[in-house]
Amino acid sequence: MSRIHESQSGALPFQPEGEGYRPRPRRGFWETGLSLAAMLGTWTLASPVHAEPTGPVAFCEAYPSSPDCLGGLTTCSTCHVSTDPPLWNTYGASLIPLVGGQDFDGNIVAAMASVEDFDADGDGEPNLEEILVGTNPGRADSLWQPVPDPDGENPWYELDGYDPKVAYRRAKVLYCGSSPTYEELESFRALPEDSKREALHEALAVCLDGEYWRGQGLAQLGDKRIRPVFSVGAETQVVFSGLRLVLADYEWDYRLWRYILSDDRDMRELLTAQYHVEADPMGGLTPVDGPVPNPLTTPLGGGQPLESEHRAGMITTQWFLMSNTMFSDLPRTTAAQAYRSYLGMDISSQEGIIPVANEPRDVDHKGVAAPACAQCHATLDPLAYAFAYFHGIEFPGTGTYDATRPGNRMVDWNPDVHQTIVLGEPVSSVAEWGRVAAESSYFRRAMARTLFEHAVGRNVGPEDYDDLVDVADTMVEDGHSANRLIHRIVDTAAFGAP
Amino acid sequence: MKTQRIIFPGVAILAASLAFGGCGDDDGTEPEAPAADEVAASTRNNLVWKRYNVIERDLSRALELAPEELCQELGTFGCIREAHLVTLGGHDPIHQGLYEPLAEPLVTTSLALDRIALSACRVRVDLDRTTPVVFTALDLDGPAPDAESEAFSQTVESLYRRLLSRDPLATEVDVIADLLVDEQGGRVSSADFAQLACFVVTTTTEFLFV
Amino acid sequence: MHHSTRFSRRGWMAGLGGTLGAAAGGLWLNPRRVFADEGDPNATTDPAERRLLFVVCATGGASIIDSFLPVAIDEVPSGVDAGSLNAYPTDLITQPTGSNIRGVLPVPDTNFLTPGYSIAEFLGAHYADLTVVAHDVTSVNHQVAQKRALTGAGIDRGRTIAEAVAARYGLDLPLANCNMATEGYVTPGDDASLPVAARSEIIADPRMYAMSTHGSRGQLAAPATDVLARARRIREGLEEVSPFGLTYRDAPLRQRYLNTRSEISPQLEAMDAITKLMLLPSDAIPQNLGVSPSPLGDAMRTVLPGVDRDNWHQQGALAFLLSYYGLSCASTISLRFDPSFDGDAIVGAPLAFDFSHQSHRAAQNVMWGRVLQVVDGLVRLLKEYDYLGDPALGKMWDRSLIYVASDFGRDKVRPAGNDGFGTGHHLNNGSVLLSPLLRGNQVFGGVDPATLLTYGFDGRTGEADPNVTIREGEVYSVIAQALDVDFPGRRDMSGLLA
Repeated sequence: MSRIHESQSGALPFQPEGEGYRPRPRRGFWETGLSLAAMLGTWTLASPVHAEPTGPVAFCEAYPSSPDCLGGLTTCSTCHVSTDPPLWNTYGASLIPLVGGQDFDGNIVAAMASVEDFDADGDGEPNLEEILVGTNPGRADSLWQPVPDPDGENPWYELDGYDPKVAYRRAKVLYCGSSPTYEELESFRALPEDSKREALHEALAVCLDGEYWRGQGLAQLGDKRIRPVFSVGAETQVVFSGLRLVLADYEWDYRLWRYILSDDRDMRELLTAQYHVEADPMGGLTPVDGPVPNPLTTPLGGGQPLESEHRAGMITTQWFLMSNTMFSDLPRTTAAQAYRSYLGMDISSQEGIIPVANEPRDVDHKGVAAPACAQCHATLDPLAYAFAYFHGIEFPGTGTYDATRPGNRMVDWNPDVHQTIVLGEPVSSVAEWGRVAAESSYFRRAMARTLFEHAVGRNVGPEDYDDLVDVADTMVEDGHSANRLIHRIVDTAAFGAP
Repeated sequence: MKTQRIIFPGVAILAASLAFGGCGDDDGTEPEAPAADEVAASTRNNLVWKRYNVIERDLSRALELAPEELCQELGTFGCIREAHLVTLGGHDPIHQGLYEPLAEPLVTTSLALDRIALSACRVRVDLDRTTPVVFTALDLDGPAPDAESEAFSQTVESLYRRLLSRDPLATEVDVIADLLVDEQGGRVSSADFAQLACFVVTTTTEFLFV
Repeated sequence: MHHSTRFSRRGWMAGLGGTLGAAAGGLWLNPRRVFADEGDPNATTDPAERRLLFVVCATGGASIIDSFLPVAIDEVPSGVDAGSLNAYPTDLITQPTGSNIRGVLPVPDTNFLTPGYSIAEFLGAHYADLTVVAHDVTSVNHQVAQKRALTGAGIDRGRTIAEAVAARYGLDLPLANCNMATEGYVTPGDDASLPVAARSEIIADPRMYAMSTHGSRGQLAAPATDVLARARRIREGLEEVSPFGLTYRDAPLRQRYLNTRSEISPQLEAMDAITKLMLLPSDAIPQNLGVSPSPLGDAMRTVLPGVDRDNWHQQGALAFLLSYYGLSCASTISLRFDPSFDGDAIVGAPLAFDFSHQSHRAAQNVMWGRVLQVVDGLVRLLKEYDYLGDPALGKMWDRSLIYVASDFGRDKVRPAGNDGFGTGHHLNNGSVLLSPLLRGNQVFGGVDPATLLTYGFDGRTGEADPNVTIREGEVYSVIAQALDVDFPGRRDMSGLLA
């Protein structure tokens, strides 16, 4: 009997569905002959089958409560060892006889349902079990066992649950930038048990409002999104033709990032803000309306030239457009970096593959319609179209909007054909791109995951998915505040259980 | 004076930590604890690595030294923010293009921490000769105190409170007492004891992970 | 944190209980065998069998047709506008007597960049050892492409080639895999099953790194060695009785740290790595610290004259020293987007090879020279010195392979007749390898003079074949096969082997 979990239309599928979502103790389970054959390493087949980029979407429609699908999409590696050339793992290989030669999209769900009870990779866990836990059903080395209960007593740590002292120490380290003093810890220990949580959150609030977190702590979380390069930033020492090689100033990006992630502001503004942020003389941050004039008397970068109506937060700063679009006609890198940074899906790793029909159209004739390329570019190119209206490096005009840019650069450009699609939804501008993205479960999961992984000091694993889901689920009611999210994270067992 | 080294926790009698709940002896040590094999270990085992900036602030505060006083390499380069930044969990996005800190300590992390602790502890010891701040119970110009002395227990207590924000267990005090003497059993100088006691506490995993 | 593949918690737990005491040769030679070898079944610790890899990353997009596969203008077929292709005047192309490989001479106009060592000098000195491999890449995003250049686009479970070599040959070396690179080149691979010992040791400052390899020397405050050793032993005793130590005695992160501290760190100190790797000259080291420059420091300066001021040369020097002294078997070095300076004079180019966007030929010519100067230095050193200083082990060169990685190629076209033009990123390119383990003085593949696009070859025979496209996985396989590193899915590239 199929136990495919039906998605709840329109709903954010963060709610675990029934008992099947909870990890079960490992049990012995012997697969049928079909799975045995798959387990014996049939990775390549002579039959004419291909990698199907619609697979991830189909998988998540079938299993919306799989951790990979909660505010995210599974990747091609669920079934594949490689997509070019197409090679399958044991789970993928077990599906081939069931869909090979047939309409993939019309049959894959049923095929997956039919092998749910099998153990394709022979690791002792049925496929469905692994799917719902978040391990790979096609790889025996992808397996998870529930954390066993502590054996015995510990006089210093509350091992069987949440230990407020542990959480307090960690919170101080991570968010205040220093450990609690002896006096602080003694005072905390002396509190009644039912007061410790409140005290923890009070201390956390002070930390989040402090100089360390607002400055260094938040900035470090922004590094891989902003990707500064000193030699072309505002402080560059490179001079050529009498000009300092300032292509843009990434400090605007850092200030915007820090501003939005502090003081209970709405994180969606990372993708929707039309303002910029300056540093005030007291070291604080002050929003300013754009455009911001270039402080340099050169045609190179500086300031923030983009008109407010075209702004979409972090993905339309001059630095972001300059460093990602550069000179490209169709800014795929820009779109990919936005997708990666704020929706948590790295297309270069085959994450977030949501192919659009009749794409890629290869408007700039880069050869992306080749089968090996199209697997990803059917998603990426439609994400990028809206960015084509924004200059990358342009002297003058870096990071400005130009309605004629795509047509001037790409002879085949047709705005009626080259439709921007974000998460399956058509949009008409980067501003709209940002709004759609910001309202999505993918954004919430990406931001929750960022702060969660920072808090626990490691990548999220199956033991964390419940906590991650729970905190991400609260973002809407919490006004998308990073601070409130951190408070929620600090309350999780992942953070506070020793 | 205790000179026997306690190596195997199964053999040692551990001090129970009621201090974590609030009860401590007057000498700052903890009551007896259950035997090691009776202490439940964590099964989640999730530890967070304390990075360079927190190490710097913790040490600076604990030893009441300015960050730039803690440690230098070759007399010129700051240990924490220059010479050993990455190995202490930092990263340089702007010049090196390292956009994320490392997930785990490197091979050289413990060595870097050793260097910083040796330096910072010695700086404190030398300053305390004229203006005692941390090692107030010690005569830094004289020999190391006796293991039964208040000077010893107060020093150990002070180090634990400053560096680890707690009181030491009796068993920990016993271990540190081994630093009062050298390999041959001869009494070391008070200054050397102070530096080494500070060093060993600073470089425990408890200081580096939380 | 790195977005790792899902991994086996069971595997980790099994590994922890695995091979304690499995070391042969005692603690000194095999300090890392406390944990299970999760990697190469052919892993060896025999120095006689060890191979050495040097990955030299030409950051920003080093174009093969601007170095070792140039096309002359008069080679462009009639009917094709040679002025619109990046073809060179014949008098700018050189081919030393006996060489099957051509090179580009110094170009007359290098904009404001300062030319130094040249492609021609390198070719003249090393053509016999030079292997040029024509291939495509699969991304024109810097970071993505850089990582794929080192992972073969994920062909080997996501491992970088340096990680794979370290897993094969370096499990007993204290710093088996060292990485001094930038951006995507410094990003670890994605294989969670990689042995801990094969993970990258990241080196940010080669000049200062030696100081990190000793826990006390050079610190005036340091006690005598035996005193410190005793203190460390006492510290281990503290670890065993502390509440933290008892509670987290099974924590893998802590255990790895303790193992490294007790096994690897003493090895580094005993090997006197602080001296062997010290790149600073004696007059830069205060006399009273007990720190000495490397015995090979002057030898480094002879072949890498910029060692005292240039991070790039420092990287090359350190890479050699790490291997020579038996500390490492795989090193990765890279140009940075920040140029060096010699006083006020810029050395190299801002954005490294990516300055080709602004000034293609100048950037390519100067930066290839910059890359090759370090490669030249490495080759000279490897040929001069016996491995581990032991004549019985032969010259280091005999067991070494240098891989010059590039992000991607550059556009093949230019504005008609214009010699001062900028280029964008291009998937089509080639790489340079040097090793006695490969067929030297050879180009594998070729270049179409009508388009300047390179084409591939039959990996098994080495025969050029315009119908074959070689990509990152094949390049990775060449290196792996040459160094006898096997993995599932390795392509057969026998045709390139010596």
